[in-house]
Amino acid sequence: MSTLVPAGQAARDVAWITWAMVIGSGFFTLLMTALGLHAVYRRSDRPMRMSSRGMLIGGGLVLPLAVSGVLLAFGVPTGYSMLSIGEADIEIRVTGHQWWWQIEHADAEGQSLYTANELHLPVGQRADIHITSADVIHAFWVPVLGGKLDAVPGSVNTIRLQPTRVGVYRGQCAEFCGAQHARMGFEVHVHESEDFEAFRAALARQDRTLAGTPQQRQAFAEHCAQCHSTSPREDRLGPNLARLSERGWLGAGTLRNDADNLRRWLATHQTLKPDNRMPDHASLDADVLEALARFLEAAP
Amino acid sequence: MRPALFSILMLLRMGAGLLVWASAFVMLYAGHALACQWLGPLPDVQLLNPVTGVLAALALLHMVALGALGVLWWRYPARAAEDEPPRTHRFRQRTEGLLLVVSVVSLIWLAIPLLVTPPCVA
Amino acid sequence: MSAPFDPHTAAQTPDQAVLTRLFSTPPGWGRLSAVNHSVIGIRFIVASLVFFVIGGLLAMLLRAQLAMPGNPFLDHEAYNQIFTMHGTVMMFLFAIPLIEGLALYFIPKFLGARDLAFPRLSAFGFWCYVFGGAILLASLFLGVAPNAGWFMYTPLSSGEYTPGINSDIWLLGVTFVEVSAIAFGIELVVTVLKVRAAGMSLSRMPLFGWYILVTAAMMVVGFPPLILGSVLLEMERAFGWPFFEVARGGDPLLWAHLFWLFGHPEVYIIFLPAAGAVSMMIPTFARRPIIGYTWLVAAVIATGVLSFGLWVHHMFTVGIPHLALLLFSAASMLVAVPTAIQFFAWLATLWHGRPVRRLPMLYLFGVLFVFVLGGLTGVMLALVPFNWQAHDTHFVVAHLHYVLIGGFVFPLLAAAHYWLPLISGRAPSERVGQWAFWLIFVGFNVTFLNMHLTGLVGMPRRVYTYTAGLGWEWLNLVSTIGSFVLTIGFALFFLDLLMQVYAGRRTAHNPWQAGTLEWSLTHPPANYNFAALVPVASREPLWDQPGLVEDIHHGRGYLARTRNDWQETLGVDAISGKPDQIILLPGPSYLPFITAALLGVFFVGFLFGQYLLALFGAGAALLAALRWAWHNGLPQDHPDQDAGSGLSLPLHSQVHDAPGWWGMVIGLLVNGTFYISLLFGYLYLWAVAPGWPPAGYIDINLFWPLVTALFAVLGAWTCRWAVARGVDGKSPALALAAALLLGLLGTAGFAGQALIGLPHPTTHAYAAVTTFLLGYCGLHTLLTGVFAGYVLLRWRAGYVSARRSLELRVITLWALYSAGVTLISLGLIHGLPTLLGMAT
Repeated sequence: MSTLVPAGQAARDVAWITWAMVIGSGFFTLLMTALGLHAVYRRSDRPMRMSSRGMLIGGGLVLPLAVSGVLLAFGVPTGYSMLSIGEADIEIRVTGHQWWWQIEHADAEGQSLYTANELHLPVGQRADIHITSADVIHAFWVPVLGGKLDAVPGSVNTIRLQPTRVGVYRGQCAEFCGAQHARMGFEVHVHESEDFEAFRAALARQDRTLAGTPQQRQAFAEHCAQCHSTSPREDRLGPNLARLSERGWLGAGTLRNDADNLRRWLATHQTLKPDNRMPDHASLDADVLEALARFLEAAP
Repeated sequence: MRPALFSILMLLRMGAGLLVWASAFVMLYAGHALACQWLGPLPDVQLLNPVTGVLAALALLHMVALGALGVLWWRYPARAAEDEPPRTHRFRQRTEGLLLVVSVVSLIWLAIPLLVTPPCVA
Repeated sequence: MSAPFDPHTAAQTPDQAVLTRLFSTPPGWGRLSAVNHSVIGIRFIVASLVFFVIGGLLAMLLRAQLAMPGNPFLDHEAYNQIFTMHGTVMMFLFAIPLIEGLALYFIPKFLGARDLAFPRLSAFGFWCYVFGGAILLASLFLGVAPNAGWFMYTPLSSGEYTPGINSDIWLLGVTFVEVSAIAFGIELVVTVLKVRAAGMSLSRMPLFGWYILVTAAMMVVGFPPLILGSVLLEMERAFGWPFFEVARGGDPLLWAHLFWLFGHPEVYIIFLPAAGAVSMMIPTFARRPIIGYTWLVAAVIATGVLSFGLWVHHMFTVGIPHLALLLFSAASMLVAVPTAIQFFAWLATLWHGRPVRRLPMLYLFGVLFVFVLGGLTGVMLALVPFNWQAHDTHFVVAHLHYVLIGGFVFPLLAAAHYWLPLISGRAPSERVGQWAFWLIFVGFNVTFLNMHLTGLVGMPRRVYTYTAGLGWEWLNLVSTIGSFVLTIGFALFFLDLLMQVYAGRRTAHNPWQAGTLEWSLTHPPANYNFAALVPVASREPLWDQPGLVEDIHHGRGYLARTRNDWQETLGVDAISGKPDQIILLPGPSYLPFITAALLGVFFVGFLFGQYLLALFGAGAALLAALRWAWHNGLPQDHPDQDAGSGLSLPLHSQVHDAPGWWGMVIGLLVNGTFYISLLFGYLYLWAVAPGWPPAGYIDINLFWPLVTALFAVLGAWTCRWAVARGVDGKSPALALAAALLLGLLGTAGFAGQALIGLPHPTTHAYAAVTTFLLGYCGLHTLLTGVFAGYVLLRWRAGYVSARRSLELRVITLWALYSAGVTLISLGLIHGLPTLLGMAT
């Protein structure tokens, strides 16, 4: 998840300025140090030929203004690609929670499809991400795609991202948001357009009402359904679990998603991600946990 | 004038240009926010629009104030205090002038990007 | 050339013995009553260094935790408390107090005075700092330290998400410490302007004086927004007044604005004094006066003002319109100009001098390299699109450490070597110091240079752990290794200083052959500094005025004779440096300690929700402060006194231009900034929060507001009347009694408006902030009455006369201010809705 290996329009522009500025900063630091060393380590019988007024005006006034003028003139326009100017091709709503992300894609009819900690984008298209928060201030950041923007309760901020490479990337909360700020990551899947449509359709079809055995469904209804839904159409208190088995990570970037880890997570999530908002499962029997795991793994 | 008040006035006068700059800064920042609330959001963002007009007027107003301070500096230099060494008096005059230059440069520096950037875009 | 005069071998005059007795601090428990600026200054410095060690150890824990991914060394709670406390300790308990200590210790010595304008005020500030710091430190050991970050963003820091005592400790502890910063600001502005050597006009002042004048002025206007923010947030947490809560009409970003309105100037408050120290050392080592004195003064003043226009660059990602961001982006780059001017002035001075290569110069090279790089990464961060990527990553952590260590720690390491001979009387030693320098320099860069990259490859700040496989492992490991080298370097540095202090040889007088006044003193200086206050005629008097050191130590100058056991120093005209009064300095007193302790009762009572106890503490602290003020002034008129060299001057309590008058003016400036921040909050919420003010909240009934305003205006007028009678030698008793009564009536008026005219403050942010505004005005009106009654008592006791009218004039300033804020507040509360047509 490096800003220097961009996979998006804005990140690519910024990476260029970054390199230019890093080289410039290094150059001026060495230049100033060299000037200082020369002043002290020259042979002191040789007078220096440079008027002090020239140094003050040239170095103190003209140099910084010229450098930052050039920087502003070339640098500021790069920011425009992250602003929501003109029509976007796709709109996605993101809500920060302590400590996970709710993502709202839209289906073909424009109805909301809820999911958590996974963002899907079609390559080459302009996506407006509308960001807000359900509790404290978070910041939405996908380094390879573009800059970050805060999720502030009570207001919606919009950032435009335009991916240029297909792939799976990582995003992360960047504003300190409490106990588990460190474990508030998410995955970004950049697809070809047709794959993106396929994903949307697959997500919209998710319906687990008949998945698993009745006993497994019962366990989920009893222990999880108050906060979690497995239907992408429902917005509940906790992360939506539709299509959970397809996700790369568990617990907002805490753990790789596989059969073993899913069971580990269900049993010991308060150890893996202490103080997260899900009640401890220590009171649940092993067979209940196993039923839940199987329910979540079952095909929809 | 009482010496204490004279000292305060003279110190303020040395930095008067910067005070004008500070006022310009606050007005441009608050002016943009309020103008966008009342006049915006603008449907299509063009160089000539009422919000930029308001900002230009604010900047110009402060530039005129700085100009007035410049005339004051040139024609009516600060008085010397009682028993003030002439070099100190010259120092105050020079500092006032330098800070005026800094203020003018700073105001231009702020105004140019503001006047060429579309307002009210989040 | 004959051998230079050495004051250490000169015989003492009898007056010097008396001065030593007058300026001494009692032994034993009497040390609690110390007020001497050298004693208080050293205490500040030592305490801040203790906190530096604590903050550094906390940083070691953080670096140890991040050395590898998924490290189980610290859990999230410990890490969050430690990183919050690392920032809080370094900023509020190390950097600012160290600056305060240096200025308190050195400013009178640089400016040729015997003490500060208000010695007891700085003693009071010291105790506030120590008590506030103790609260914060205790929380760390009890495991309830603040854990919402040193920036305390709401709503994370508010009651809903941080229900424990942690945030309260930050808000109350830091505010307690800030009392000392405000005290310092007032103290130093007045001292630099009024308490200097005769003839030290503005342009002859050592540059450090200018730097401290600007820094102190910045503290005067920079800290009130933070104090206001802390008070508001604490009221939200304690009483449920919803200033920052969206659901009830508040806005969380108001906190961020108030915090950074303080937080950015804070960076320059830390940098400028250190740069001032550099500006004092460079001429000494370049063997010539500084080049571009006027430019430097202009640059420092410009930095002081421009730095208040940068705060939003800490908030580039909160969703402010792009054009407004540009305004702050441009301003942030602009501030590079005055900084560059300083660096080029230093370079030009070295360039045109004959530099000597001594150890402090090595540290100054550290400044050059480290700070320049930090400044340039700052320019990078000022560019909005880059900032959106780098903000809140380790890039910023690297940047801020380059700025603060390059711009603050390295200059002060140089300064420590430079001035230690003066403070300790021991000769400088260079060998160990060179080792320490290279360890610190290399360790620092190994820790932080690659940390820029850590941020660019995507590692956010303030994470207690990270996942393996993201490319962050070796970068973090290298940083951790570097940080241990850095720590060893600091340890060696302190060891070297301790060895010098306790085992060094005696130093020769003025070992660096510097030109400024402090080096004329004995090493270490006498507790009264100057045996005689000599007139100065140059910026480097020791270079340009031969015989000056002898004059000082032989008592040839002003105020060399003692009388009445008075501790005297000269007051001068702020511009010209012409002596205009003799300032009588107060001796040791327990009252600053007692007042600070009672204030501590207030803070601790509030912390534990014991509001009656808190109220008692606040009231008792006010009484103690009034008792303290009772000591000031003289019970009878005195004629002008002989100041020596044929000069005759009035005592300070008998002149218009007294330090007390200036103190009240600067104090009102602090208060006014607090008030303007409050108005900003009021208008900000009005503009930003939706549905403001809520329907049915505005009820315009102008009768009581008009009556209250009338009381306030009449109160101010009666105080002016009291002054007019007082200076005519007539009795001001009736006028003061009327002012007392009007103050009480006005207070009742405000209380009525707040309690009857408004819905309960917990219902909506509008009611909360309006009640707060009325409470602010009510408190001021009440204090006008209290002060009038107090001066009435003083007049009866004989402390007020036609010649000694200072106290009357000082309380009149307060009364005028109270009337002003009353009119503005009531006009705003009732005028704005009328203007916007919202009244029902």
